[in-house]
Amino acid sequence: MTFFTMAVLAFVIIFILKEALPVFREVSLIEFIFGNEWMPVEGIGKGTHFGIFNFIAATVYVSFLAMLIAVSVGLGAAVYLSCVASSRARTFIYPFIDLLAGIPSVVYGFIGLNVLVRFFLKTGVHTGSCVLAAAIILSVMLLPYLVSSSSESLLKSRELYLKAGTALGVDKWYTIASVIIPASGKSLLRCMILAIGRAMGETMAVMMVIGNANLFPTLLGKSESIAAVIALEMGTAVNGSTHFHALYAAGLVLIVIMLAINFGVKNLIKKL
Amino acid sequence: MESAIRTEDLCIVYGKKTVLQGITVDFPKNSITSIIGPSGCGKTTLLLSLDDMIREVPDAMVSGDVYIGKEKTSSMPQSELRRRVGLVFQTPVPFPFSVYDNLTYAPKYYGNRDRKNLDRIVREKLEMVGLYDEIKDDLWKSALKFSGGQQQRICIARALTADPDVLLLDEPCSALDIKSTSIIEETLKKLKEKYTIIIVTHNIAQARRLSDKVVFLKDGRLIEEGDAGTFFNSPEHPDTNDFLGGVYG
Repeated sequence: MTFFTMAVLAFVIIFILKEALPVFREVSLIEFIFGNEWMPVEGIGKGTHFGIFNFIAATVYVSFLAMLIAVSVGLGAAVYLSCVASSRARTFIYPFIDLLAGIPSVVYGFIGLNVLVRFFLKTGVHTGSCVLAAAIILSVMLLPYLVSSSSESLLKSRELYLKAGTALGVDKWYTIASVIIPASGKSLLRCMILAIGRAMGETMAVMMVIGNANLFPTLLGKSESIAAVIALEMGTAVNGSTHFHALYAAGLVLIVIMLAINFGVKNLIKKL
Repeated sequence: MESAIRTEDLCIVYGKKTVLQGITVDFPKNSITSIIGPSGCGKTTLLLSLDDMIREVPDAMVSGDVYIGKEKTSSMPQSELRRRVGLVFQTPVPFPFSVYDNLTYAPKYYGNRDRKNLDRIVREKLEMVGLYDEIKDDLWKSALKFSGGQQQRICIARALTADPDVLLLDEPCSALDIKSTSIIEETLKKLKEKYTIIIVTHNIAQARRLSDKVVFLKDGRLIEEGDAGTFFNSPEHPDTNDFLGGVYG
């Protein structure tokens, strides 16, 4: 099984590398990563440009903002489920959380369009589409993963340590904050890695509410994520063209960012 | 002998199942009392009712009273009760911190933040369980990295940091080897000079080695109690005789 997984991962990376590398015959790596002009088709008096810095920034910005929201809400929900709710309540609530995870992302996108984008439009945000809307909708999508996996590890720690704290006369919330949550720290970080991977790769819902404009991301401004630009343009890119290879290269960058975060957090966990 | 803690007509029901019926028993000060009896007789339930931890068990209903001296435990704030009655579990559960942080956890919660004072508490309690010389250079090492026996002694020391009058132990040696068991037994013998110790044990030989007093339960009822010598040498009740003779267990 491990060999199969490694083989699939190697295949994906080799395939993307093969399709991505030709773009660097025409665009330098530095220009591709740090350039902020993306003009895949020649305009009047203007050549093509393939700079994805704004897309990288938007992907990282939206994902981390979504994580920030999801972790704050999700950790609270996980603590409630593992340390406060009765086992009967847990049995009742868990299926709903699983159901949330099963909702297709396009449905979240619709909700984002109809609720969040309208709300931001009313509050004066031009067109309503913005990075914050994307981060909020993404955080809702991350919640079920964060809540179910982190409440599992918190529950294990609670079973171990809550009684020990209570037996010392220590307040339940003091034990939760000072022992149970720190004891689950590594597992919580692992849940976050999984969630951030999902956040960075999420396409449809983010694409529907972020505005899809090649702009440096600001909280209430439009922007465009790497996954969104690939999804929007892959259908129109001519097979074998620089544009086609540039989109693969953007995908490669996304994989590299995700792997870097993965290894970074895993190293951090080892040191903890 | 003056009693440190006693129960009066204590009854405990889990849902519809009666686990303890009308238990009236006292636990003398500065002595070791063993609670023994066959599996499911209510030993642990009786132990947990002494510091009210029984209320943490879902569906547990308690009637009757527990007294520390002349004070009813039901009228004491729970944190105060649990500070005065320490509890050590069957499986050692050190917090996933250093030994030092484990031992300063309760004192810090109770407002003791003075570093010198905390250092003194750590040293004093580890000495009480005979562990200081063994691990004095590893106080900042994770408590989880020590052997089972050492972890259990760390847990006993941690229970002592809240300055209890009574120390409850629920089969503290059941997961340990012979050597660790004997070290813990020696520790408990020393600790009884300062604390009242109540221990639940399955091990009759251990009860015989350790106890000053023995409480024998069967089917949630108190069958017999008395000083260890009389209890083991000339038990009054036929059920006690059968239990000690290994007819059931």
